[in-house]
Amino acid sequence: MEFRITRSELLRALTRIQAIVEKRNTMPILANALIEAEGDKVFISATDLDVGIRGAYGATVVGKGSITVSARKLYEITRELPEDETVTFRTEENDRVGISCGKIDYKLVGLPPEEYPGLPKGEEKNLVEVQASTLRDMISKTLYAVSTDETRYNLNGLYVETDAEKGVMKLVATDGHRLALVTRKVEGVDLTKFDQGVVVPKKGILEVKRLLEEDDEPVKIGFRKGHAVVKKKDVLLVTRLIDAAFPDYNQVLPKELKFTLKVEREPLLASLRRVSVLSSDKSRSLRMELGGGRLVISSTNPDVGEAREEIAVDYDGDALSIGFNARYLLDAIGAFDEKDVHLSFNDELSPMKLHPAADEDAVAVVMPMRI
Amino acid sequence: MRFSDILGQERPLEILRRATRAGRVAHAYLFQGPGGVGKRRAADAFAAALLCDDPAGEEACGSCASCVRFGAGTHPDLHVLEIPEGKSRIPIDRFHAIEAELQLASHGGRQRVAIVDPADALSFDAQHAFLKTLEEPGAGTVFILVTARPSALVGTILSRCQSVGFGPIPDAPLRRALAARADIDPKQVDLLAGIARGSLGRALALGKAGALPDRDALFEVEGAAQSGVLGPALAWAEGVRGTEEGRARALAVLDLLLLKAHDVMVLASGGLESDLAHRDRVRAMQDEARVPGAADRAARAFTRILRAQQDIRRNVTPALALQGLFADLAGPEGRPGRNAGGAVARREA
Repeated sequence: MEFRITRSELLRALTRIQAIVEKRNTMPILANALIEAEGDKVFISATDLDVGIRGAYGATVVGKGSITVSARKLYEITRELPEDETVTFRTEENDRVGISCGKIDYKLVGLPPEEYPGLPKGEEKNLVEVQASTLRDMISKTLYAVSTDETRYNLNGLYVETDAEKGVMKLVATDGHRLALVTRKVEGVDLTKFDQGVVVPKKGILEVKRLLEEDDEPVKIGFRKGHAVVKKKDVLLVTRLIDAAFPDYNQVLPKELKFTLKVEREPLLASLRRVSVLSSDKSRSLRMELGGGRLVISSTNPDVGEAREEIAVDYDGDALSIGFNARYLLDAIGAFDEKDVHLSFNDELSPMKLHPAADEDAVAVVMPMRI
Repeated sequence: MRFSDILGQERPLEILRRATRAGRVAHAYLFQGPGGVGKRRAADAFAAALLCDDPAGEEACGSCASCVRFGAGTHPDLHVLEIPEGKSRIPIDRFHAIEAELQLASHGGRQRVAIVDPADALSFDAQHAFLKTLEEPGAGTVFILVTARPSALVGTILSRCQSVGFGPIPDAPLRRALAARADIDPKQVDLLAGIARGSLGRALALGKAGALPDRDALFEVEGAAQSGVLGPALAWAEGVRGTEEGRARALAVLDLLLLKAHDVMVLASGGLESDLAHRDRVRAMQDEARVPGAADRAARAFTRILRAQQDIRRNVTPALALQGLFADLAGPEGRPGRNAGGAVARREA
């Protein structure tokens, strides 16, 4: 195999896979990138067995073939090469790789491509197109609530659900103490092609997010037989799905809420941050007191001190005093990006519902704390 | 790895072949039988056949993409849980790692295999954690638990596995296999085959550790120790070094002693000569078996030798473990635990 590729194109390819390449040393070949040359393209792939990515890059292919070689070293080498140069990449005897650029020569030890485990086997059938911005927004408003408790593995990912009748796609995350749910219309898409309800592991979602953040190019997504596939122009990302049922989140969503409060998001977030400085390290608890046209946020930590802040609000409901985990509120409100938020309550021991004032389809639910 | 490479296990292999052929594979198997008779090799062959893209009948083809990766140890849907180097058990975090792995759908979207070898190296806690995984295996997951000591597994695990029993390898194929190996002295083949009692693993360990030529000297000092003369035995044990080879040799030596204690028990209780391991030394052992109380004494020695082996696996200096053993054997009745100068006694205190 031999091909010529510009340094910038090679660097783009290698940067893309760095986060996926296995750091744990369970299977040495996973530290390698699979490089295949054919036609006028070079395909560069990496996988950690859970998530895999394969991209096609423009190159002048002199001889086709494939090899695997350390993704890290190749990245470090490429990064240090002079800009605007062309890199020649060729395989030599005993799975060795020669890389040259002008008067610079490298030799790398590779491993045979036949031994590379390959990407998870996703099916590229029945993919549907989604706007990158839509999916990006949905992910950023839910990802924070994904559980990190490894014993509750069915919560260790984002639940993706579609409702073909209403033409909507939903993303849900929960860790048992809080929940995030975003519902979005997906225009001109035949959602009946999807398998119903799948749980995509957090690691896979992070890679999808990274891919979506590159540019605004629309992506095609699909879920089939245990794998999620995301395709963007010349890149294919495959992640294995969590093989477990997601709990019925509808039960957690409060149906009727007695009191609602509208607050400006940025100032509220700033107050919460200020008060949470003195919330106890362990419970992170703070108290919200409502009544008489004001919201009082306070925290006490017997070892350190206490904090209190008053915000004037437009509220005429019953007086309420509810405890919350400060982090849950900061995460939820921080994930919204609109000007105002709605907070809705029933009483001291019922969950609070939050959503951006102008967007009732992005919801967060936070359980109260007894303090 | 293919079924046809495995020596003389026709019955268990036929069970596996039939299951593969009929497509009726259980979700969990327990491969049980003596050590060194091919259980793990059978597990590998079975796993390769289950994962093969193009199985020829019931065997793995050996050449498809799946088989190439299997051979290279990079198959994404094969998970092996073993004792890490320098440990005596399978740590629970390794178990949890595999458990987490199995929560995701399989890599290839088809079958996947998890081999636990030896399953008895799972701690009690890990075994109980394992129950849940065994009860609700993900679609297409096949567990193969390999063990020479099924009694060390909790009953609830045993009852969830289909048991496949492996027996000793018959004499003729064992001899052929030993004779074909370059690292085994051809002159030792007969003796090794006899002593190994159907275990190729044991024969190879004994042959490679170079313990056989020591056997006569070993039995002599052991005999002396049994009759209360401890000096030569202690001096002999001093010669076993603390290196990796020394440990292998000490384990092999203890295997020889274990088999001798077994032989004495067989002879003392009127068993058949054909059941003996050290068949060439039957005379000397008959003399030993004739002494009143010989069977009890041999049984106690047997337990004590097992403990010495365990100690060495747990990193006790081989020479100390051997000396402790000899000192105990030299006690008035070969009573374990009495007057042992070695690390063992101190640890127990």
